[in-house]
Amino acid sequence: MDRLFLNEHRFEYHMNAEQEKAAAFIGRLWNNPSLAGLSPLQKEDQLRQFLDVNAATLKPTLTSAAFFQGKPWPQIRELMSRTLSDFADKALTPLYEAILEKRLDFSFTQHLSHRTAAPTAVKTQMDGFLKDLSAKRVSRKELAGPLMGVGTGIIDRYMEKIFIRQKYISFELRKVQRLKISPNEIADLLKATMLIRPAIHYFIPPGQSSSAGLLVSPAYAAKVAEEASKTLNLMPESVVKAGINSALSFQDNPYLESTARLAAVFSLRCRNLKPGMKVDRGAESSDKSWFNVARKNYKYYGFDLDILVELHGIAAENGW
Amino acid sequence: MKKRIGNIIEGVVTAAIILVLIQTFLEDMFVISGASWALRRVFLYTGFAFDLFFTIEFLIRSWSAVTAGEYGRYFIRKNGWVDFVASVPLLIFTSGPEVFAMASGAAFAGTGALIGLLKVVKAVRMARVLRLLRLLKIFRRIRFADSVMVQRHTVRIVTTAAATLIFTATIIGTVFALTESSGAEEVWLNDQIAAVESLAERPELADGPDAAEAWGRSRPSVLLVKDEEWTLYARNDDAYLKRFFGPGDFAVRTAGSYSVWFDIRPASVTQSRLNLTIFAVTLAVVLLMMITYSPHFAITVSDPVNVMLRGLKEKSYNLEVSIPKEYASDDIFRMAAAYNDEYLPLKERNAVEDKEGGALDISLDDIGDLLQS
Repeated sequence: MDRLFLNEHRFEYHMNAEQEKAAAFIGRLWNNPSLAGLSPLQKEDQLRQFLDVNAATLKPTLTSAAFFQGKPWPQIRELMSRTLSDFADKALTPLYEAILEKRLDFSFTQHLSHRTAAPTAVKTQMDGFLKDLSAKRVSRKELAGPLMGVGTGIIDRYMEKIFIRQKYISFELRKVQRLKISPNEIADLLKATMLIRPAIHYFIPPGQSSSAGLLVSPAYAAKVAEEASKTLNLMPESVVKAGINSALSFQDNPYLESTARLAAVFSLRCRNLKPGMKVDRGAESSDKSWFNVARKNYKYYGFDLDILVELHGIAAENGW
Repeated sequence: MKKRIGNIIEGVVTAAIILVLIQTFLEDMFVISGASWALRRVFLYTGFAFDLFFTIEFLIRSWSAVTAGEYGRYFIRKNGWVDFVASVPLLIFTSGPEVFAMASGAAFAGTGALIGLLKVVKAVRMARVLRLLRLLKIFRRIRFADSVMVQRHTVRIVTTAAATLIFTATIIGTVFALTESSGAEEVWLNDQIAAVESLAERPELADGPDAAEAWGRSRPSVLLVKDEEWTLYARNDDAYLKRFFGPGDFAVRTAGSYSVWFDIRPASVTQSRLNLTIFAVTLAVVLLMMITYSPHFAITVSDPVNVMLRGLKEKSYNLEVSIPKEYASDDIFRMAAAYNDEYLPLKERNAVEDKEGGALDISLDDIGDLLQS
């Protein structure tokens, strides 16, 4: 299990009595062993659902004298939600720093055309961008997969095998997309692409639902890419564009960058990834199961089937 | 408290079952190895004690079942028949008469057919195999599989196989023991009987110590030749006879004024070998079933079922069933293939579209104390 997600974050900040009670309650949920190993955003998503699903059961306890007696339930619910976000935010800040510091090297930007900013500057800008993404509910939720993917090292593991195999994905990256950088740099490029992907939801106009579908239209993607490039002006434009294009269907856009196709697959794969998950006897391994199911749903997700076939093969070969 | 006492008693019964199996094994081993009578006597007494203990256990369980109005359930479904067969007949026909014979110092004696007596001895010893049924009781008490279904199916098949083996061996062994045959042992005994009959017809063959010794030495199973109270020939000294022979180890046959003492231990050795063979075979069947069938059942039935069950019940569980190529055409794996290929992809799509989420890893049970406080 990755150390990045193992730190138990304890928070001390000025609170009134109600906030303290809410923090104590959420803290107990947050630190529950059944959520161990999940990223802060996964935890937040889980607990938000938990509070919604179990509202009827929690209400008698939370409206009792021990908690918020006399306070209307909607206000209690709002307080809990806010406290939960605080917990996630407090955990996200060090997580972003750790990921950008230890898991992602931006030196690949030096080898790509159009932008020549120093990697540290790109990193600083990406840190700010991630904070922006997590500030908005619609994009915050979509960050869970990319963060998990980058934080757990799953990308590095698969990229290593991809370049050893020298098959379809490697060919697509090297020969079709013409990435003349080292395998490690390609892995970092893919991670950056994944982290940019939630921008699709970030730039959704206010009032419009982001959950209309998994995929967006090329026209919308182009507009978002333009906006995102302005925000991430130190990042090579091709990377930003690939991040946004990862929300396009490969079936409808066969010339999609291979990094965009991979970012789409890994972002969705990691959205509900549970590191250290015990595989039951008689069950296939976690990755192998996921990629095989994704193969059946490739049109629905707009995935590249050949990529899924290869990733499934890698997972099967390595027992992942 | 009552439950605790019950657990203690069940623990004692389990320990007794293990001990009686060891006792049965060692008893036969000592017969085969020609151990001293004192040692074998200890095992005869302990065998009797165990049979008495299990008879009492059976009676108590029967009484308890009768008062609860579920004797039929106890006797048939809860294996009361095993309790019965492995205790009462043994006490009445095997260990009880043996202990009685020891207490009275009786030996097989008389002018009747020696082979007839030996047949009874063999049949009685054969019945000891029924003690192995206790092995099944132990087997039922061992929790060797995670799945209740695996445990139950394995216990059922092992119980059936082992009980069939034990009963068949006992019945066939008893029938063989009681029926005429021309086996080596019988031929050898008939030869001894013929010798005694020839002595009755020609008493001069053992007329005096020298003649008696020559006659006795020529027959390996003859221990003593006596004329009235006079010992004409003794193969071993008294100390040896006292040390290695007990009631049931020898038979006395009279021929006129002569009485001839025969060593009949070889018959017991043959029977003990057979008993040990059945013991080993039964144990091997039980262990092999546990080692081979139990995992096989788990792999081909319970594991795929459990994976599918979790997948059906838990929204966040999306692992596929592993389908071994060699069993892919099994019904269960055909169903698993449908689960993998149809259900999981649909479930995944539903999860993506489900705005309420629902793939929860945390439940109210995880914060039970928090809600109580």
